[in-house]
Amino acid sequence: MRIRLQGSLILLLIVNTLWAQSPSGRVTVSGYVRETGSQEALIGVNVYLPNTTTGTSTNTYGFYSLTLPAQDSVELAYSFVGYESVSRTMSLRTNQVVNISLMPGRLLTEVQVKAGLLVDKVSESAQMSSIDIPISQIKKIPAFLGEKDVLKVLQLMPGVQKGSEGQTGIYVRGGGPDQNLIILDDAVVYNANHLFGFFSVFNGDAIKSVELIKGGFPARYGGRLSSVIDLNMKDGNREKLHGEGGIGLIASRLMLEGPLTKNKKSSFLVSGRRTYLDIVAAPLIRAESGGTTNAGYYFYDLNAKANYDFGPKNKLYLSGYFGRDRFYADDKTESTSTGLSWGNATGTLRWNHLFSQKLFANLSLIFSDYKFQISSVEKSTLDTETYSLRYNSGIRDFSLKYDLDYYPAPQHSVRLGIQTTYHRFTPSAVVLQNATINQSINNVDNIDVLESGIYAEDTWRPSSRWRVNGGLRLSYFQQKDAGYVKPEPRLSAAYTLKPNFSIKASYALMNQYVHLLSNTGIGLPTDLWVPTTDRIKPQQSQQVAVGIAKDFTTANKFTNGLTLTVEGYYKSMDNIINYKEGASFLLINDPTSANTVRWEDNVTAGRGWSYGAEFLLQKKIGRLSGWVGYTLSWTQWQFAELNGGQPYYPRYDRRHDLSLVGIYELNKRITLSATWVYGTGNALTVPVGRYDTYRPGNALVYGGSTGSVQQFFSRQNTRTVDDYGTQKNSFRAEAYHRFDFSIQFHKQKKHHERTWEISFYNLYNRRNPFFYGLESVAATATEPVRTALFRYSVFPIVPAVSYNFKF
Amino acid sequence: MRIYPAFYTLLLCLPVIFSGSGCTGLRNEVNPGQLGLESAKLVISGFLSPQDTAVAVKVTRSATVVGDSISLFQTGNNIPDATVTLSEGTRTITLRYNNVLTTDSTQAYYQASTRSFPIRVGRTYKLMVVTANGQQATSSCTIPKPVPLSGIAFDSLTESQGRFQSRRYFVEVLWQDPAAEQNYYQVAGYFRYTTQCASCPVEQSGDFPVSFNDDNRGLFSDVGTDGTLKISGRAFLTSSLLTAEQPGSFFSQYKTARVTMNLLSVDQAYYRYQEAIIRQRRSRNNPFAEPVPIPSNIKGGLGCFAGYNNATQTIALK
Repeated sequence: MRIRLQGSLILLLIVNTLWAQSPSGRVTVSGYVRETGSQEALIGVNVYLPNTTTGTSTNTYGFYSLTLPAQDSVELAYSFVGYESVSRTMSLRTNQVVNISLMPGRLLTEVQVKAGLLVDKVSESAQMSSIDIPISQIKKIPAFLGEKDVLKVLQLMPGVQKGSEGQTGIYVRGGGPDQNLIILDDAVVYNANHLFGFFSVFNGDAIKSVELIKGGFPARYGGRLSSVIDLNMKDGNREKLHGEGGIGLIASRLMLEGPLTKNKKSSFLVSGRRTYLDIVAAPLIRAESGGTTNAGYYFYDLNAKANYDFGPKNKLYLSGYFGRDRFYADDKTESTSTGLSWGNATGTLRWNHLFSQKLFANLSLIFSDYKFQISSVEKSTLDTETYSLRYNSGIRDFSLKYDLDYYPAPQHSVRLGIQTTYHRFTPSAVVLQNATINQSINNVDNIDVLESGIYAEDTWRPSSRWRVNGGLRLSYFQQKDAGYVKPEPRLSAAYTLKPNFSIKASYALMNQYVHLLSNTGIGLPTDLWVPTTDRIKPQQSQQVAVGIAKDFTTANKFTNGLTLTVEGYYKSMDNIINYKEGASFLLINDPTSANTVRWEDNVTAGRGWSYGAEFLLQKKIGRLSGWVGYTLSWTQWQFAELNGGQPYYPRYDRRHDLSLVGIYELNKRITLSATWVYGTGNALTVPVGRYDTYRPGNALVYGGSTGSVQQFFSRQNTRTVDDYGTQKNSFRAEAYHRFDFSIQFHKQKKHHERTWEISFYNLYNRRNPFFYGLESVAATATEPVRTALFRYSVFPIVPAVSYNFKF
Repeated sequence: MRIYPAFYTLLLCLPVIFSGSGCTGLRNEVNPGQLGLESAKLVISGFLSPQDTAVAVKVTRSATVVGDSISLFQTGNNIPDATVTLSEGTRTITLRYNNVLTTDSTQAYYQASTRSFPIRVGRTYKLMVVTANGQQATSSCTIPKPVPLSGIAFDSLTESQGRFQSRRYFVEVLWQDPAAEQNYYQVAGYFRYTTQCASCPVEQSGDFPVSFNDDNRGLFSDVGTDGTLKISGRAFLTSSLLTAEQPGSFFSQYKTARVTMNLLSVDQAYYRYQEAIIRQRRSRNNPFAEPVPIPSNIKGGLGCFAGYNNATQTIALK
């Protein structure tokens, strides 16, 4: 650890000497860009010399640094989507600190975008395959039961697919939901689901920004194969107390933010959300059971953050998330109580330190924990027999992360860093007391591992036409005797063919040392994180992508601000794991089972590959905003032990995936929005027939007229089995499509602004398939007994109404 | 497993929570015509053994959602009018449809006597089935060498069954696996006895099939244990529980007690087929388990056409 840190410092010194050679004649401008009013730091603000490609952008903490040749007067422009652009003219003879406040457009429509002005141009960045959606836009897109969900909006983007109906599981370019690195303020969120994936854990009120990267990953990210979803929590308003909240059909939420001290150097934010289905349903359940049963389900989320400025050079941030889902059932007559609960907890302590105007450092101490718990207690009033079972599984991390951002020259933005994580996996911990048979089991199975990464990357602009992000990450993993050190080269480059039009290409190699055992794809809380071991190798992917990016900057109000990206990719994935045929979590982790089955015996490794093309036409600003996304893709898996070793389409292979998203500001008081999605049906293994099979009787007696055949073909040796067709997942579910619509009525009241929202999920009541079952239909007067295929859907049309306020 | 049912119920009743419709309100029958599903397939089952006095092949149709909608265990699933021919080298024989029990045609199969068409070790037999409407299925199998039993061990154990302790009796079969070749086995057997008990007025006798407690119900492969002495799982002799208050009651119960064990040396097709069936049936009611497809060596159909060779040993327990 110490050796590595020193290594990174040495590397930094080398880099420093390379670019620090001619300091004379160069002057550095640096500072923070914040939002006017709240003083919230803004991420990704473009800071540039107008009409040139010389520029930079603010980092995660709103910091920027630009070193330019000394000159008498220079104009610097600051621009960011959704904010009024600002330009400053200054004399550049000495180093300067320039802090800027940007005024938010109250609505995106109000932001005037001048033709030719550089505002977050996709053609100007070296990064490709990345998606960012303004949180303000996310809050306008129709949502299931009015619960705005960041992850579900990401699913509407090309290359990003949903799994099953209503699920927040994300499938990026053929990768599974376990292959997404979901980080909230640097902390990994292991299970981003509430209620079996129907809601994500991210409460939009507390989130400042979200970015999703599908390919061409910068070296600062590592540990997952398919995507990075980087979420940052808001810091909180430093000027005055503000609040935001909402009352919906199933949940309510409240967020408060404000200054902690009067000197405007600190702020806090707290945000909470809870569902109240259980409160509504409790009397019904009690009545139905004759007063003997108490059962319910709820989830809640808490986000909190605080920060303090110790002057221009040091800042401290403390943030955390805590969420739980809980399902309980108490039966008084049988004296049993059963409970299920699961959830994440994360905590991040960050210290920003400015070594100089060119060198920004951040140290993060990170905690992350995911736990799934079952408890079951039985009491008998007749005697003292009791039965109690407590089972839990989970993962707990402690991480230390140190990152340096170095801006030696306008052509270079260098990032260096190191991260080390101490994981404790608990695949199963069982405490069982059974007085009836005098049984007492206390099995705790912890696995401790160390995962580390060190990286260096540079965003290099060698000429006005080229932008390159190159880097290397070295990942390291140690579990008992199994140790891995793997280099991960990363490269992405963009070349401007003509103004506002560039071509891009990228390559990334990724390793993943943690695996998710999940055989439903539904995102159950039982999905289990397990480490790489000597038997289970790390997963690895390689991805190449090429594409074009085009910005439309025209005088036409409708087309101005449109961006078009078209990308093609090929990704190979090695050592991905899947349950063996017939295996399931419930077989492995049945805590009452006498035989403990090791998870490693129930998984099998294979490979996969995915390729496709993605098309995105997006408009982030204007009265009409939204996007059209289309993906054409193929994904195949091949496992020696599955499907007879033949390649097959995994469940979420999707040939066509189309999303249309539109938000229209009818006037200042009414916002309309709609989405339509279409996707090829899932590839499923469905019983398409049933037939009888025969096994030998246990008494094989030969001789007689019929020999032993009766022992094979007799009724008691007959077993009925399901026929799943010629290949695994050879059944294609019906196509999925759905139209959602919402209308928001805004009104500015004396002390607050309120919004009524009426929304319809699945407006035309499409019965989308969730799963299929082959079932026997009983004989009727006119029909004999027959088999029939049934489609199970989850959601019909679901109307919702909610009330939101802001002050 | 006390918790999971509640868990399933919760999952399946989610629509109720959200929409107020019943748990089955969103269940719709699908018109199979739109889904490109296959129609009923031929299912061929046949197991050839040199010890057997007959060769027999069962020809049925799978029940699917497409077409004639025949449910299981209905007579219609048997195909009585197929042409079933078996050949080996230049010899060919046509099997005759035999409706063993005229009252129950599910028991019917095609057969021929091994006197006119003997089954021999190492020979390859080809099967062809052509139905009256022209559906065709073919397969072939080779008869494996027999592997003799080295012995049968008799033992017992004490088990907790709820709040009771019981003593259960079992046998284990031992055999030497031939080295440097792939071998697959099916162990079967039965327990034959006549009772003896002072208070019982009438002597009783019976045949009880043994029951295995290993994962694969007496099915074994030599993968990883090639050339070693193999021991079968425990084959329990009776399913009735003997309470611990009656020590030694096993021998005092019987006048005669014999166990006959069969070691079937089976081919790979048989092993893969039967093993998959056991796995599928173990997990088929678990909606979260990875589905288990059943492999087949029948071209143009489902099922299994396999050869086996039987070795038998009987020991007297009393």
